[in-house]
Amino acid sequence: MGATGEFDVVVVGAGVLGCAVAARLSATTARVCVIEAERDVAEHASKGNAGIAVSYYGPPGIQQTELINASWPHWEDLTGRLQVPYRRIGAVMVATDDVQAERLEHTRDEIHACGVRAEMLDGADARRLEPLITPHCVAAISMPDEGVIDPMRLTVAYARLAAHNGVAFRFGERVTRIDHDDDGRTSIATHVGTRLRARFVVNAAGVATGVISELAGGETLHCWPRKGQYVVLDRSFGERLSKIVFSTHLPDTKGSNVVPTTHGSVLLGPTATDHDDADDRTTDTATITEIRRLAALLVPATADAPAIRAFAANRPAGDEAHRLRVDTIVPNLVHVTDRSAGVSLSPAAAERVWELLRGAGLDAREWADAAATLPRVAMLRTAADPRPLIAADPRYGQVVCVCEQVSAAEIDAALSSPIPAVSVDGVRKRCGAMYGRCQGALCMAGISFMTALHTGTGPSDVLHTSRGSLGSGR
Amino acid sequence: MSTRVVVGAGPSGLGCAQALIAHGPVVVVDRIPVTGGSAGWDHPVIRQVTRRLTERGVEWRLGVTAMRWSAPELHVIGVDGSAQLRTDPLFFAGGCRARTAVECGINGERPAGVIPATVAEHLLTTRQRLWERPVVVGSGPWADRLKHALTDGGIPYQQVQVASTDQLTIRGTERVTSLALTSIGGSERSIGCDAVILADGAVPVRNAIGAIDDAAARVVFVQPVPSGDVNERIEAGRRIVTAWLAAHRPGGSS
Repeated sequence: MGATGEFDVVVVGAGVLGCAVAARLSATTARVCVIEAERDVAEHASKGNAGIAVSYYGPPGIQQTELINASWPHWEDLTGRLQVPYRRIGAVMVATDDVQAERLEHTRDEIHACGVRAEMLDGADARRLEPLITPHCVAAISMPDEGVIDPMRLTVAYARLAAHNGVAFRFGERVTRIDHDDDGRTSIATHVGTRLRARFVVNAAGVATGVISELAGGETLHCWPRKGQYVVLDRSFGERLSKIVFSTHLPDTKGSNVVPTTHGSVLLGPTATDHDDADDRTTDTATITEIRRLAALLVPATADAPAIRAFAANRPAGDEAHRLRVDTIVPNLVHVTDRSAGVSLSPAAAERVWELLRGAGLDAREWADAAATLPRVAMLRTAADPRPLIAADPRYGQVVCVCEQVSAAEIDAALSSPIPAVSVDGVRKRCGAMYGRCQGALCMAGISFMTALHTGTGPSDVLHTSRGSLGSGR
Repeated sequence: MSTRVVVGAGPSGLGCAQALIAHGPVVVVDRIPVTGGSAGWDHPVIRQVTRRLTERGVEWRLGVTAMRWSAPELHVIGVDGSAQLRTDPLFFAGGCRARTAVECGINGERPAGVIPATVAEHLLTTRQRLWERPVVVGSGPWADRLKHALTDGGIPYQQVQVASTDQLTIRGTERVTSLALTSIGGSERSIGCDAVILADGAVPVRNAIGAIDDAAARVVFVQPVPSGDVNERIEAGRRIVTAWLAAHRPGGSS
């Protein structure tokens, strides 16, 4: 017999948008519950992206651009409060022939029309800004307001703030029924027997957006997975690259990019392949080879940089690339989805959802005493001086992940903070252990042991990923 | 005679210390609080060699991690704080590991149950029956060790080589269900499994910033491919350093 509960808002989906909405609503008097089918936040597109917080993505005059514009200036403040790695390093969009150069002029004009900074450069100036850019660069746009962010830690931080302020989270529960009751509330049932009732439902289910809308009797929303494959390059190369390097945006594609990450590595990609299996996150050699070929056209030095990992994630593509509105059939259902810019517009999207809910009749107001910051969990790797950290907590002196210099203190925090890691991979998402060049060869045994201790499991049934255990018994 | 610092107290590092201690003070640093590395602290040869080196005056800094090398200073940290150790050159005996999935060109999903050999080995020491039909991918020191450990544990396994003629692809969404081998000609065979153990080759471990590349300044990398015999591994480390000493004798050939 599952749990029951009455809420003002139920949010379906704990990706970056669902968690951002939960965080925003947690600063109000609304009672909120987040339901997530996986056992952790950020298990799909929100963990498998390039980690760019864009200042520009599309043309002016559309809601997506408004939300990006309302978000990008505030990242330093938000990430400072939420303890999320972020750097506004700027980007250079590179043209390697005259056709692309002409296209760049249009793009530059469009960026200006959005009210965002962009400056045309010639090849020489582009290479002064970022020396690793190809000598074949004939023109470029400098975009100083682009930044890189850790999307997994951002999502976890939103969720932690929400939880701290009283939002309930239910993990590992798939919504199976949505019924509208006579009193204006909506009943939501999950596959483990939980039955919740809410005044409003926020559909932040990513690739499953269409499924949730259908269950709710809402609009028929065509959604499908768009796979993006990525290659991660070693941090020894990451040290040398200071700017995000974009390929020229063409009418049919945003192209493939070279992106320094907040970890210090470099991401190449993504590709974009529409398909029909949301569980298919396979990588293949032909695509990885092509990613590396395209990257080398922008930054030739990537060709010699060792790859440490390849991965794939499915973006929520659909008949609408961006959707943030009240359903036209079901008046207490709000959809929030973005195919590519979810991270980038999450702060403003959350604000907009709150406005829409109020406009639709949500009886709630701001809650002045809500927390707006998270406690600091220092990172050994980036500490200017580790001694005070170690003096305050000797576990900062125990380096568990040597490739990424992650200490036992941080791993313990990942396992014991609100919205804790419940799997070995969950530890990776929160503190970066096992992310580096040895991919856990040196530290995963110790981390699986620590995870088992915290989750009351053993070597066989401790969760490796959120979906499967290390041993095969479970 | 100035102090020389060795990073790594496994067999190679112990061999380094043996070669160096005759020529001056030696400090051995290891992030693990015991000596022995992948040979294990309780191996009789490790215990004996460690004892002998202690008698000869080697200073052990165990549970201390080498973080950054900026010649001639090695920045280390431990639970007691941090320190800068001066040495020239640095002797880095950080050991080896098996190749990662990307290094082996393995594609596919990333479900639960795809595990580095070093991790599988540790987990098997718990003596729990973790898997019913694992596949050991690759050949080399870790493949041999895993095969041994699995046989000891009564766990039947299959072994698959990493070869340029076959593309290996991991299948399974929640946990691994099979490993597919696709030949260049396109024919595919599939091995059902409940774990894939990445055990190919031996790649030197490099984690101290500034001592990552082979070309790093003033570092002597002492990371021979590990053989199965502890004495051989210690000897291999000793030989490398002895040769370096001979080539860098004051007034010598270098």
